[in-house]
Amino acid sequence: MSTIAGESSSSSKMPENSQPTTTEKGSEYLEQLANEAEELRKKLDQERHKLNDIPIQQAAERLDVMGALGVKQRRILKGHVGKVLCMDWSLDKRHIVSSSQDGKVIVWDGFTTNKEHALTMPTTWVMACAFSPSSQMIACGGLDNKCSVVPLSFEDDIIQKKRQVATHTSYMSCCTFLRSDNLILTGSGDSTCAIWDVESGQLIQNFHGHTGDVFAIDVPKCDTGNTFISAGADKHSLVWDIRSGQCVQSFEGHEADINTVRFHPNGDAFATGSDDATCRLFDLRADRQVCVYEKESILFPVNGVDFSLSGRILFAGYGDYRVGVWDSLKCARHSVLYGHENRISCLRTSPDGTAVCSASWDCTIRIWA
Amino acid sequence: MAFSCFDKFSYTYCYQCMHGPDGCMVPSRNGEGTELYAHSEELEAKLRELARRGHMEIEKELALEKKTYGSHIKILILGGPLSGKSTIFKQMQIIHVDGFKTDQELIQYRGLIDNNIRDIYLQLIAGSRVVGIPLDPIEHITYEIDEIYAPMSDAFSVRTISELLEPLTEFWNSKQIQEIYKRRCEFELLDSTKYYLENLTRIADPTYLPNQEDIVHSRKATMSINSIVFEYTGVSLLMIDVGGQRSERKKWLHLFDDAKVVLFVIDLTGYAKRSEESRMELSRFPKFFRDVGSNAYDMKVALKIFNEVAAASALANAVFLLFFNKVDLFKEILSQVNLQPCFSKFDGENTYEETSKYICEKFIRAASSKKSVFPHFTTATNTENVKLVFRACMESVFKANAKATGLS
Repeated sequence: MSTIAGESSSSSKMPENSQPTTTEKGSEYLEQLANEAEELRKKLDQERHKLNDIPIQQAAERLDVMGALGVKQRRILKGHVGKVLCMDWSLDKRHIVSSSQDGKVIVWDGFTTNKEHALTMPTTWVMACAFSPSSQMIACGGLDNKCSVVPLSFEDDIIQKKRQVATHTSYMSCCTFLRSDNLILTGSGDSTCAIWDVESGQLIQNFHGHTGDVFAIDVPKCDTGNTFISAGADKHSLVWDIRSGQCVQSFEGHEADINTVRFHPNGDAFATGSDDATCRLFDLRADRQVCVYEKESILFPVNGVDFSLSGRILFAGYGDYRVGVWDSLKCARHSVLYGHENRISCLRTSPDGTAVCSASWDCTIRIWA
Repeated sequence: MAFSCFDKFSYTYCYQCMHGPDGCMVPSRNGEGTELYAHSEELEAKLRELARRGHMEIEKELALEKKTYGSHIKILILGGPLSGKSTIFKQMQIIHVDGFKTDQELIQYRGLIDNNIRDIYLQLIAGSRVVGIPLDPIEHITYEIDEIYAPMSDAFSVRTISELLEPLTEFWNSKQIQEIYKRRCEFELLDSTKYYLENLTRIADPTYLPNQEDIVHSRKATMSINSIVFEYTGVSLLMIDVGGQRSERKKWLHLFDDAKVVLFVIDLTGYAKRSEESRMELSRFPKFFRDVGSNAYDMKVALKIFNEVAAASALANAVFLLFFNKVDLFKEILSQVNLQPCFSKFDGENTYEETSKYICEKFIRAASSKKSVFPHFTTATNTENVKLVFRACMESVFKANAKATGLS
């Protein structure tokens, strides 16, 4: 993708967490500090603006307009009784794991729509699930504040082999395997992310920095990266160095909670979806927001975003039951996919890019291709 | 998306025409490059049938569980911090399930109670500094108690051993501590202070195992989610305590959109308290901070939480039961602390009748007028009281549901 920088990110304040002192003198001092911080922020924005050249849409004018894609619903996976809250593809490009409000975690053959496993978690409300790279196990968790790992086999009652790996102090909102069957990355409502060793259940690294719930995390697809990204209720996306546990970059621009975040396939940019009904594209090298995907007519939260294999297409799942298909370079919406009957909770592109899967509160999972 | 699905070198599954490598549709347990191939039509057909059979078995199981899932009436317990949500939950276990019986459970609760007693002791010491009452006259007692507690360095080793009985009793009965206790609203103190310190003789016995009343008085911060299923007059109830979730409510409240009843618990003594837990709630949610201010009383924070919960679309169809809890403690401190500082517009007499009515109206008005809201006054640590109030609650719920279905 192009390295052209776009418009500067709009300024937004960090959530106000300090408590003003009751004395007048103290209040004045705090107000003075807040004003000073605001002035510094404006100066930084001005300096950044000088480095901009042309907007990404302008750079993309030379590109051909995308033709008709012919994408439509190819499969519908039915069987969940409660809202489907999360789904994940297996790296074999064929299996899907999904979790729902009623505590069921189901492993599907997306090709034949067969169910291969149906697990009942002891604590219902499973808000997140993920496939391991080898497809031999799945991780899941939610309001029980824990992340459990279940090895998959065709034996009966594989839930007995479940292992509790991670424990947060608030609900676990998202989890993913960190390029290995032995490392899990989790994000939680307690404002932290953490890496855990699956075998021993030990905490390997904790990541503090968010000032609100963490709602989404993602790991770049290229194998050389040592970073991951997280986003949440504080409207900020943070990029972390896995080795040091430090936040190395921070991005702002959204006006409401960020519900979802996904890396661009090349690992140099990421997209976010938010309660403010917009998707935004941020570039790591330009260190700023480079694009906003919004329409006057779109009013509902974005709960899932993902790129196509090349990164040219951005798929977005909305609270108005539709999947939006965007041209990520021309910043124009290409088309809309209809079919779901309730808000979309999660959306993922298959590892080989041949299909997109969306999960919804209508208790179904749909595969588009 | 263009696909060259007939490319003989392609290893891509094509969802458009059901074509795959060698036409294989066998479930794969391995990653890329190691797919299991069926090289004969007969074997492929067998494997396909096996997968389908497994699928049908799962379908059957799911259909059975679907009936169970929808059969419970879900009751969700919510409320402000320290309001007694988990105490209500424990009472439901005692009243409607089998309570706490196993020795292992009782021993665990004994450990918790021992820790509560030490916390109470430390809180009273800290309270003496807050209210400005020096403890010099009983320094010899606190020294003795500190000496006994010193070797118990972690939570698991804390025990109310018999040597503690005499100094703790003397400590509690001292003039200074009694004076500090009267002003307990000015600092953090466990509600079960009086109960435990007046039952020390029983608790300090080496063979002591807590009874049900001891257990409901115990205090442990709820971290995760708890649920129980029980029968009530032929109806199956699922009660859920999410007390420990201190994060964005709007992100997980929708998981309970099938809850028929919301039991919202309010600490009546919150009108006189500014607890650390409520400060934490304010610091996490800037909206709360702006609306009620950083120095708000606990009850104002609870009112704000209730306002948010009652307005949540996920609970639009739920019946709201208001549990005004800690009536016993409320009556005690009414004689010392006026309602007026918390609710500046209150201009009535500081009697139980007038203050409770005012608070009740405040909360009912915080919900939309279309909401079904039923207030009840409880003392959650009193099992008989909870039993009576719960019966009245369920009558309200059944009546409201009957009205909704037009059967009344």
